Amino acid sequence: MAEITIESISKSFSGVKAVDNVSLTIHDGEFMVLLGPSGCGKTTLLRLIAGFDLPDAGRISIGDRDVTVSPPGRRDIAMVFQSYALFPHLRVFDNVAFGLRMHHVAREEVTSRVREAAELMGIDAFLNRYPTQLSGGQRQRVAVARALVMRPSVILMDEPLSNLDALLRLQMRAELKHLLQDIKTTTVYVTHDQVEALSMGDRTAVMRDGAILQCASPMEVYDRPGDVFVATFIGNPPMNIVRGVARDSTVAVEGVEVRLPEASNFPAAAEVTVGIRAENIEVHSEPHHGALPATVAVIEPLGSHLLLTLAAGAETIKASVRTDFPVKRGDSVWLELREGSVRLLGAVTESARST
Amino acid sequence: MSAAIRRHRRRASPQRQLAYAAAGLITAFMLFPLYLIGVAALQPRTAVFDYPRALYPSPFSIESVAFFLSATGILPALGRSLLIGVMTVVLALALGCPAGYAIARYRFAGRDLVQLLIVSVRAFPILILAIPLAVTFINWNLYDSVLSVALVHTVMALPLTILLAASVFLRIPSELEEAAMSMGTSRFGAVWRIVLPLSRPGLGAAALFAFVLSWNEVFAAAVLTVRNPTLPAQIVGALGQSPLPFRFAGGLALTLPALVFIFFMRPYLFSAFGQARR
Amino acid sequence: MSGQVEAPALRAAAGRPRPAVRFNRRQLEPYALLAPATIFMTLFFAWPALQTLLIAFQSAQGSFTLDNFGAMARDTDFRLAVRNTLLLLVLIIPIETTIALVMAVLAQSRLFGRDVMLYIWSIPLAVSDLAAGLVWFSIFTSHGYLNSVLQDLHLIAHPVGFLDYNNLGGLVTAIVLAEVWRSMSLVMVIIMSGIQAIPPELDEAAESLGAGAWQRFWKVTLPLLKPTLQVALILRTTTAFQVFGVVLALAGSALPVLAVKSESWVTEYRNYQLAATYAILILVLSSLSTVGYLLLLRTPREVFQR
Repeated sequence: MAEITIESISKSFSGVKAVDNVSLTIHDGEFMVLLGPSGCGKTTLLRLIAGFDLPDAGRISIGDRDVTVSPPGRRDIAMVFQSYALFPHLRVFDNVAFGLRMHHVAREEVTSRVREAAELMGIDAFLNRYPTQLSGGQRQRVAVARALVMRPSVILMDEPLSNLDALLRLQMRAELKHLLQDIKTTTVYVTHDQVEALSMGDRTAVMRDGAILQCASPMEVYDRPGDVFVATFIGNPPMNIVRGVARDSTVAVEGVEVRLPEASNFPAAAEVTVGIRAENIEVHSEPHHGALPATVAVIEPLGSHLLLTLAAGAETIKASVRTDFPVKRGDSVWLELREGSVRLLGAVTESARST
Repeated sequence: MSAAIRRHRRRASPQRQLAYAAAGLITAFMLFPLYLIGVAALQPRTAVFDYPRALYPSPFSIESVAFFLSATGILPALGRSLLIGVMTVVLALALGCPAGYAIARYRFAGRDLVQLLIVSVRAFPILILAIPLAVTFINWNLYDSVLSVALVHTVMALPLTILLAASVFLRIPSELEEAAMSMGTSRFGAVWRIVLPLSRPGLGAAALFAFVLSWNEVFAAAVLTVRNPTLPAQIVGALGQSPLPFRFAGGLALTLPALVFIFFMRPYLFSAFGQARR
Repeated sequence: MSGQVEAPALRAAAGRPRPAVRFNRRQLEPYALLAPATIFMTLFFAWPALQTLLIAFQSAQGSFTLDNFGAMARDTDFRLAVRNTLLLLVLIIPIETTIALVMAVLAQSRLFGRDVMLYIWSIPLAVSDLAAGLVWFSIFTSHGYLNSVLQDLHLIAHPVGFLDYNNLGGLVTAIVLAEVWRSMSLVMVIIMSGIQAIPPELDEAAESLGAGAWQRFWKVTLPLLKPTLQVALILRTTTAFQVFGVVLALAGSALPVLAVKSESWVTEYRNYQLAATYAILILVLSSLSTVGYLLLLRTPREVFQR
């Protein structure tokens, strides 16, 4: 168990910056998720921590050891690969035992530790099989067991669930979270799936273009996104982004004023980008005081609720309503933006970059 | 780059130095004989008998090469070698492309068996064919002819041609064909208009492999010809009584094309010889 | 083979019932496409191969006999030819496989100038055994480069007859060097394609579990290369039993080998029975070696299933 300190790490591949001056501290026992679209640098950052690639600049320490240039085998880490990377020529037992043998652990201890890890992962029945004889979920368990058996200070996981089908993924997600909470090993988990990030991590670092945009608890990232990119990358549907005019502690969207949770420090009448989640919009079928008039463009039944796409002036807004809400295409509705849930995401000029 | 990282890169170098040393040694082992045959062939005929030998051409001369080329039978043999090479290419492609297409695009009973047979033909001693074929060709009045050698070379080249063609066709998405067929062409039309144009470079490589195989083949050519040998067969036949300059120039003449062949075959080496793995 | 795509028409046909006749036509297509190659190979490969077998068991008058094998065994250089062929093979195969493994590993590591290096290492792929023999002949002949260098270094006083009739060591060394030089490129390319088929994560996984470079090679790469090595060894051993051009160029008749004996019975004496008998012997030896490799380098079937 150990804290990971990453200081001003940079890495380029043939001139392209994959990780650009990133600093991050992952606390002892913490479950840190690196989240971002493909090519954002999350996997590179993980591989730098693992030691498969060496940084161009910066420093990485695990515990109180500087491991910036240490080989992967000497970092006291264990990695779970996206493809599982099980050795096809070795039986499950020998796969799990591989690392212990490389570290010259005594034979009896190898056996007992492999059995222990196998029981923990529920694969003790398959120890004599070859990886090709296992299902995807079982291979995944072997890969995790192979990492756990090392009792590493840090477990690194590179999209470990992405090769499983949807149902299995749901099940493994809960199981992995439970397991890692129990053993309290510092974990770095890379994913592009925002649901995984929200549901599993203690903290989530959202990355883009080789930089960390925001690093906070999942609820914080969901509820108070630091910028337009985070707001639109996380959540389904993504946060509504509309233009507004800030005025003291209120913001006007399409001429309708809404109170902000905290006073803005924008000058009066500044054009700002405003974010609000679909579930924080109350839809009324009658005119309502302080509500935005809008027209229903698309109705999507999603089982638990209806997702409405609405045209309000020049803005397109998504809102969710209960399935029994009486609405049809072309209806006029009125949108009440719930007080305290409206976020200012910066001046308009900045948002132009990302939308 | 920080100091620690730079230090590390420097520290890692002994291992790499060893790798470079090994690579350099092997490269030298590969190149030096090629260089020496060049020197031996590109000096005056008399210099061949100098001893000790100079390690560079002194003076440079194409006298040996000219002597080799003007030796009885060499030029006609060269012509036959080229002709047989082209015939082998045409035959191998004509027979191999449909077969490769069948393997690439269809699932059919016996497909695995076909692939197994193709691989096992490559491991079969070809020399075993030459003798009865010599007898057969005598009966067919084909013995000592260009066609007879081309037929045997096609036998040798066909398995590789089929495997290469199959791997080339596999790389062309069948959706392209299906799209063409959905627009009203027949399967043959789709292959002719879409697949063949796209696979030209790959099939070109297959052709080159067949040509090189034919160009280099000695045993069958030696057994199946008497008065009309290929270039390698002519050289083999003359080995016993030929002077040194003839042999050196012959060695160079047979080796030089390899430099060109490999240059063009490079991108396909793995798909050609890696095929053997399956 | 990955990325296999079923013929669209076949897929459609499987879905809904169709008139049996048209369904059959579709099924016959692949066989029609294979037919020309199959007929050709039957005519010029399978049939002559069978013929060789028949000829080897025929007397000059055409009746069945085992005499040809007796005649072969009594042939003047028969024992020598068998011994030399095996001797060359036993030296060539291990040497070239080892060097080719080193080459393949080096070619995989990111060395400066890798492309040029790979080009040079591939050149012998297109060099015939005869050409390789002639190239090395310029080095080993009595007034050749090796003697010149040795004499310049004052290591010898007179040229050594490396390729002399009675210098078995010199002849074998020269032939082995030429054959290794010529064919290790082929082994390297086969091994490289095998290495490339191993997912790089396996190496990284072993590395993260504490395996050093040497351990990774022995515990991960080499075991996974076993099927590749098997194919390379089978291919190279069967061709090494037929070693021909190199021997002719370097040794002439000073070092009898099986293939040269077979050829000379055809071209010099027109004795097809004896030539075929030699060919059958080569076939038997190659088959035995193939079976040997298949047994020796067996991999559990489960390992490479997909």
